[in-house]
Amino acid sequence: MILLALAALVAVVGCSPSRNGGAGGGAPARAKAAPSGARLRVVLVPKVRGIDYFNAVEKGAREAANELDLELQFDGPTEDNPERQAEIVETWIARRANVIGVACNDPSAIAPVLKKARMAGIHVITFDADSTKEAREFFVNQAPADAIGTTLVDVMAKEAGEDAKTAIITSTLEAPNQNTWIKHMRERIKTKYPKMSIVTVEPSQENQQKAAAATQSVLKSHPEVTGFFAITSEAFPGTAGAVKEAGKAGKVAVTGLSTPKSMKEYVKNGTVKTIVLWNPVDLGYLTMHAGKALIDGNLKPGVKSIKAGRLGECKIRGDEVLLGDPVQFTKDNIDKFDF
Amino acid sequence: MREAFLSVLIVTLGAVFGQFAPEFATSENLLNMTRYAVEVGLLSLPMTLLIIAGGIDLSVSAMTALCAVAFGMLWQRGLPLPVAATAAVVGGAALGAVNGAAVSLAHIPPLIVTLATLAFYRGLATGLSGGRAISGFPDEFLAWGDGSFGGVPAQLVVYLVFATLFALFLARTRWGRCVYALGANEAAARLSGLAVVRLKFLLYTTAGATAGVAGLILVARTTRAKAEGSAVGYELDAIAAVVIGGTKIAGGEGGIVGTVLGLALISTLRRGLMMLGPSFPSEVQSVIIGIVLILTVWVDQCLRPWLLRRRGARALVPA
Repeated sequence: MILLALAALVAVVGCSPSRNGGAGGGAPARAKAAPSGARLRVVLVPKVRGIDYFNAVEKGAREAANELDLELQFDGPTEDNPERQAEIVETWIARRANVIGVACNDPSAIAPVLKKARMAGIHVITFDADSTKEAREFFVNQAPADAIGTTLVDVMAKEAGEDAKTAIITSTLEAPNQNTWIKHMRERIKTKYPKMSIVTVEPSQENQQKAAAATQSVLKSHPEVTGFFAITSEAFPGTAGAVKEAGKAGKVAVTGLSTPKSMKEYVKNGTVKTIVLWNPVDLGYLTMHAGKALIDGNLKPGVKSIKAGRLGECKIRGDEVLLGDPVQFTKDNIDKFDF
Repeated sequence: MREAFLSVLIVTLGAVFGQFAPEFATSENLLNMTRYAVEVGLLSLPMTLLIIAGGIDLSVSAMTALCAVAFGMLWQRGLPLPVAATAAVVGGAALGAVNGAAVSLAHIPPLIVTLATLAFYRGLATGLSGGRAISGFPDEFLAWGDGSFGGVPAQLVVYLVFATLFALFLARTRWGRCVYALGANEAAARLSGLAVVRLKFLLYTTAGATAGVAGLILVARTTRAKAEGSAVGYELDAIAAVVIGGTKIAGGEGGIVGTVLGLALISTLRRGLMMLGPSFPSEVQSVIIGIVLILTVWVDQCLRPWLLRRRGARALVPA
């Protein structure tokens, strides 16, 4: 049986299939989409459906869909699974979406099906998490690294003074996102707050307990530290908890990146004054406007900005649409956000 | 009879979906749908044999993932594609042989053995890959995932070849008859001098080798070899296809044609529900497939006595 199976495999491998199957190959064919008269159909595919973060994205997308008179389909996998996500995109290619926007679970795994969508004449954008560059036309970037770095440092200067001695609790020392942010933080400190310093950078492996332990050891070994940057969503609550437990709440500033919901407790008890993040509602809203601009031809290579309703003019950098400066969540506005 | 019932059900479902989502009933969509079914389809073939023989293999999806990762790593380390691919299939056979040895020689119940190796192989795959994905495979390999032979998806051709081989083996060879005999009554089969131990070993090894092939197809379709999230839950889909196809879970009865139709029914349902839009997310699809599973088995049970009467006392062993 095994021999038979192997023989079959060899036999089939002997001849080889041709690629570029049904799409007709060659130049992408526009115009298959859009039955005229009907509303234009935009499909947004989140990483996972039904979690607070992407519910917030959907809320913003619906708002924009109503403004722009677009049909919005918000359809994603119920678990974080790139294979399921690819299959969902596949069905929307068959159903002739005008624009497909994807928050990619896995940048390389989703790329082939996105390319297929483009071959079928569908506009493809990514938001929240990018795919490979050639798989999509534009990426709606919710958090340009320089804006994140700058905002974090500005918040620290406000809360712990322009001469703050700070420690960074990061994810791992190799993490690309975090390292880019740290680079931009150092640049901001150098140009704007020369008296501020970063005493140490400690890893926390995306783990709350480890972040808390790292914070405690920094408090002991570097008692001069007056502020913490906790720059992962797991590290932030861990660090805030450790500072509170050490009785330093209000004396040592803690800021960083996380969702308002997970930090609400620490904002209410005064350990944390400001959380830095983007607004996912605005991200969904902007993604819809970017989709509409693609259809209308207002978003194409070389364009410097697009109009995005209540967000005003949004900048384009290369092939990325920028959401703009991060949002600061404080005790005054935190109750308005449910993610 | 069972096959006719399933065929009618599939066509009816297809027509209903075509009514509500006109894009469903296009040849492009239907052919594309098969691309997503082939890996489970391949796994369901040896699963049919195993279940008829009174066994089961829960580790097929883990073997698929492990073979996929091993194939990717061998290729990345410079082995030529055909060599790496052969190694993955042979390696799969070895993984299956471990199951086979534990079941046939050590007499541990197959459910326990393969539940253990499911965890073991899955862990091995994750450990080996270190959570990384291997990609960058050349076009001639990726063509097995998105290429075609004259419009027919490449992997569908592979599946049809395998399905034919398995069907011939089961219906036309002496070993195939032994599979039914083993499942109907193991003690009787052994006392009649059938090579029960060897047959079981062979069946589990075949399941492993087929999982190796499924792993290759999976890599070609998803363009990368990765342990996490690869082939998760495929063993349950494969078992569902087998059972919907009319193979008795207790063994002794069943056939490949039914399994192929069972797979077609599940794929049609899943893709059809997906085409109806986000109103049927995957958890709803699972619920509906579960209901269909129970309903088809129940309908089958209701029809069986009537069928038996009509056929007289002839044994129910479909070709």
